[in-house]
Amino acid sequence: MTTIDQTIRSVLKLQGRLALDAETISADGDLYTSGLSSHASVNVMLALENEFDIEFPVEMLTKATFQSISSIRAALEQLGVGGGA
Amino acid sequence: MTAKWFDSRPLLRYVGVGTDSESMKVGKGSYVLGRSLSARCPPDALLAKGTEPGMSFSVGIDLQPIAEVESSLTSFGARYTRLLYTSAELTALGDDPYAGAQRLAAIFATKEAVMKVLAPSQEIPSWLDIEVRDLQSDSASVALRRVAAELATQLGVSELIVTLGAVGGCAAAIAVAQTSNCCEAQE
Repeated sequence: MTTIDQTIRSVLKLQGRLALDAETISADGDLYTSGLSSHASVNVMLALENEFDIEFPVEMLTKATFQSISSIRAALEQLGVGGGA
Repeated sequence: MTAKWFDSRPLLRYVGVGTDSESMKVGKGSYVLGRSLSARCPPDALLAKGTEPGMSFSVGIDLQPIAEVESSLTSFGARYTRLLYTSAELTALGDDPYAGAQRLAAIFATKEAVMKVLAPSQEIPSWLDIEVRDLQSDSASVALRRVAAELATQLGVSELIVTLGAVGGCAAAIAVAQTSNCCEAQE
């Protein structure tokens, strides 16, 4: 598990209000079926901004971005986290 | 702490439709109520008295825990509010932080209920495209902009009614839209 994934899981644990343990969800598991709400996804995004000192453009605040840990990681990499972009 | 805002009001109340400068619309998917009521092109037997054939209704419902909004306000402050609420919605808030959280939860639930009625499949409206107005009056309204307004136009939304209330620490909202374009889209 990468450091980015670990941070995403920590943020999901704190802000995601998931019905499942964020540590046990697979990287491609659907976060919405795990209980992630629209409101919680906003909190996840803001917490990730704090963690990685980035800013999500509004157009990335979509359901698809927060569909899974993998999709969140892809969005972060697009913003330059972990050497992406 | 007292629930000043909700305590002084009926459990459910109607919210009129606001058309703003562009047009208006309603929320996205219609869960339990929406799926059973939206009955695209309903058979004549299901038409309400006075309802024109080809006219249908879409319903969206949402619950938003007030405590979650309070937590978001504490954790993220203005960064949170700027993403979800228009400046007019924020200006209309009072000074009491708890009452503010209640109102913001009601506003967010209303936006989500409207989203469900609009049922976007491709371009998703921003929460800022749906503005809840006059929340504290008996004639609150919803104004739709940009993507939300375009979706309402595509659906042929002619009327949008929202009811608000509070249930067990949650703000609740139901949006009902009368639409006219469902049959053309299906045929």
